Amino acid sequence: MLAALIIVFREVVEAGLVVGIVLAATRSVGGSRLWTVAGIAGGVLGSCIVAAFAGVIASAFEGAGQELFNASILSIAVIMLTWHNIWMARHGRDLVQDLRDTGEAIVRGSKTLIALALVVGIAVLREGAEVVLFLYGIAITDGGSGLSLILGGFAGLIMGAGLSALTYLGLVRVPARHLFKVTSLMIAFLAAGMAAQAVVFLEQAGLVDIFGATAWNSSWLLPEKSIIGRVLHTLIGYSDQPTFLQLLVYLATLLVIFALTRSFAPQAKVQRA
Amino acid sequence: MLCLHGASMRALILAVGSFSLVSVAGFAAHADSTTYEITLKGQTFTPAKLKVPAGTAFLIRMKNENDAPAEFESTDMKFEKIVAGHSEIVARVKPLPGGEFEFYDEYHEDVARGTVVSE
Repeated sequence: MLAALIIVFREVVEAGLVVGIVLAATRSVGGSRLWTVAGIAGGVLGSCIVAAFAGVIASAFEGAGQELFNASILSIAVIMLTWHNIWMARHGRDLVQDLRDTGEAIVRGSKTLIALALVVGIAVLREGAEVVLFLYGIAITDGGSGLSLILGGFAGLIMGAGLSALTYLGLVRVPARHLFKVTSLMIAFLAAGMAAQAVVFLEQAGLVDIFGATAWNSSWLLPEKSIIGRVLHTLIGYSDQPTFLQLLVYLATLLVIFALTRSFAPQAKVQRA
Repeated sequence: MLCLHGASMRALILAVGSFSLVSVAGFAAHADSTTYEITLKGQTFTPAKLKVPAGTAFLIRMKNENDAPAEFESTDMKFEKIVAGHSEIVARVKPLPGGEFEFYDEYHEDVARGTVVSE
């Protein structure tokens, strides 16, 4: 049971953190919880579909289907996160102002909510299919003794939800006027990490083969597959053996996001009409 | 509002476009590499030990003969692929230095393991 709990929990660490961050980042945007839940539900549904077609996906594109699929959904997530940060740079100040004035936020963020719901869905989908297949595998091979394993699996899922709650509760302690800055920064690093991970998949698929040398190896210090490694992998894109291309794409993504949010932020001194 | 969307979307498309260009630039990487076959039945890999020459990229074709899906993974060799029941996948391994590298079925990590020996 404990083994199942650990397997499932470490698969849902990423989704758990992403959900917590998204909830905090959109705290003041009306309807954000509903959209987050929709994102989770969509991700779970998507996981079941991907799990059911795992064989088909794996053999697509001359065996590179899984990698291309993962790289594609990660790229979409990176775009959505970038778009959210631009939107936030534009409207964050208004949101904080409205919060102060009326205690309520304006309900105008539906587009960024769709973008973030998509990110949540993708985060759930990424490892969700593995969880579904793991539980399915137990169910068809271990019969009666599988029950405690399945229970362990669900305990792992609940712990993932707990991680979301912890992340959210931690972040909302940040004062409102700093919260958007903090979450925007976290989202930028989240996006950079995801972009680097997309590169990992393209490299695994054999589609990209430049700057492929390993930049460093810190697996002796902090293995990427450990729980702390996974948390850092999600939060800042930590990798224990990144290639130079991953590093390059990571930094480029950060630069692009910072440049874009800066260029779209309203002038600091201009008052809102 | 609309104007912002247009502008930010354009900037985004530009960013994504340049990213794709990087990907396409490296597209010519499909060399024919040696493929090694491994079978997973129950919780045993056959063969459980693969000998490969050091410094050469290769492929591992993993055939899962169980009803249950598996996740063919190696932290040492940096791959992680879902293998549905009664199907197979191909994992790509970069040139390895000399040494031993472990692979496993992540769903049964403690028992279903094997080694690649590079020399």
